[in-house]
Amino acid sequence: MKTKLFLGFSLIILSCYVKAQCVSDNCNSKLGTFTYLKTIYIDNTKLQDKPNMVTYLFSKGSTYMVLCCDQAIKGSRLIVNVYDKDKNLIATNKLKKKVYPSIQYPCSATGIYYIESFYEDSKDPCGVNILGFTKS
Amino acid sequence: MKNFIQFGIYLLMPLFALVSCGGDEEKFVEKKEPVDTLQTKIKPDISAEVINNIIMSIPSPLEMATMLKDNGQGYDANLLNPSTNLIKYNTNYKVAFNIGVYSADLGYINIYEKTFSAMSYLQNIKELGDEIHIGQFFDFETLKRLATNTKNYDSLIFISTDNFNKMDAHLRTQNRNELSVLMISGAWLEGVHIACQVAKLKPNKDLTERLGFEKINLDNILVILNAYKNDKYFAQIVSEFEKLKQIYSKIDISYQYVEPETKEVNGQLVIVNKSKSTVNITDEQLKEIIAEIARVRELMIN
Repeated sequence: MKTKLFLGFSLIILSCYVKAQCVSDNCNSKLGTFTYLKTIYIDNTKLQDKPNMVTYLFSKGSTYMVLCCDQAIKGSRLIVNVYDKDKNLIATNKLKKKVYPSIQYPCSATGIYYIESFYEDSKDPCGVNILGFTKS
Repeated sequence: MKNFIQFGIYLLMPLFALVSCGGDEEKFVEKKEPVDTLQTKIKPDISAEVINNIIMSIPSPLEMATMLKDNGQGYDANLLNPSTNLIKYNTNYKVAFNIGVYSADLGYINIYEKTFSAMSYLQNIKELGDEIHIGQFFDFETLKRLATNTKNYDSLIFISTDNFNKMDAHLRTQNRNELSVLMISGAWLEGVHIACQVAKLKPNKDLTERLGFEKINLDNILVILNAYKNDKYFAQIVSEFEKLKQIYSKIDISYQYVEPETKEVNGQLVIVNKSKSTVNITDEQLKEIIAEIARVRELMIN
């Protein structure tokens, strides 16, 4: 009886931990000297249909950081692409099969940019993007 | 009997799990948010998705304040909306708009690390937030504690920005987008107003350019304000912002795309960007913008 109860409560605590990871945006501490701007929540339930896409106005003279707070537990990889207003690819966190945890983008052209997020392998996706900035 | 108790425990486990697994959002619910009686009856004539996307795209006023500080401009408390104006905000719309205004002021205060000035603005945002039932997302006690110590300004900036984002997100999930639109518009107007007043006293090329590029934000803000223009209050704001748009319509912005390069620096991915954007703005146009922003802002905060 005690063992069953212990196992039951352990499962509850573990499931809480896993769920908490998905709603957590504590990785803002990795911004370092960058100033926090926004958390971009990724609606994982819709990723099957289309990638998560948000827009933001980047200003020249500022360097922006997009932090990929990827907390998937089954090897999925959070990919972030940044496009300009004409949908030209400006930046990505995937370079030669290597996926980086962040992108730094020193902006030289003020305008609206699209920040696209998706999981390369959508098994149990979980994460957020954090946007920060500093002066270039 | 023993089996019955065991069965009862197993039955209660999922309930316990539901209660104990609550994230941040659930914690707020525990604080007994007042019943929302502010549901809108205004139907926007564009989709919620478009409105959300535009709201997300408007930059934080922190960026403008940082630029002013990095350009060597000093702090000037006279540029802010006086905290004593609080009593003037007697409708939900005025409350929402001026939460945005005071939040931009708080951002300016925080960037300049004048934390002693922050207290009355924190108090005002909390009070106004409570008026429209979003005060529970503004962690006043933590912010007040941080504001008493100048060494905490990084945390103060993070938490106040995060709280503003949470208030905004909550309004949108509750289908009260029109209040969110007003908050964002107020924050934008106040951020630009502060920059305009600095440019008036100490004009410089970077600041003039930056104010010229605000044409993009103004166009976007007008799209979401226009979505609610069937309401009298929104119609008035649209009418005032349209006058500003007329001045901006003479300003040209151009963009030239050049393929960027990517390199790894100390394990970090850094983009070498070569694209360019330019804005053609004359001194006369800048003067017109400064005067018009001041006029509209005066109207909105009083």
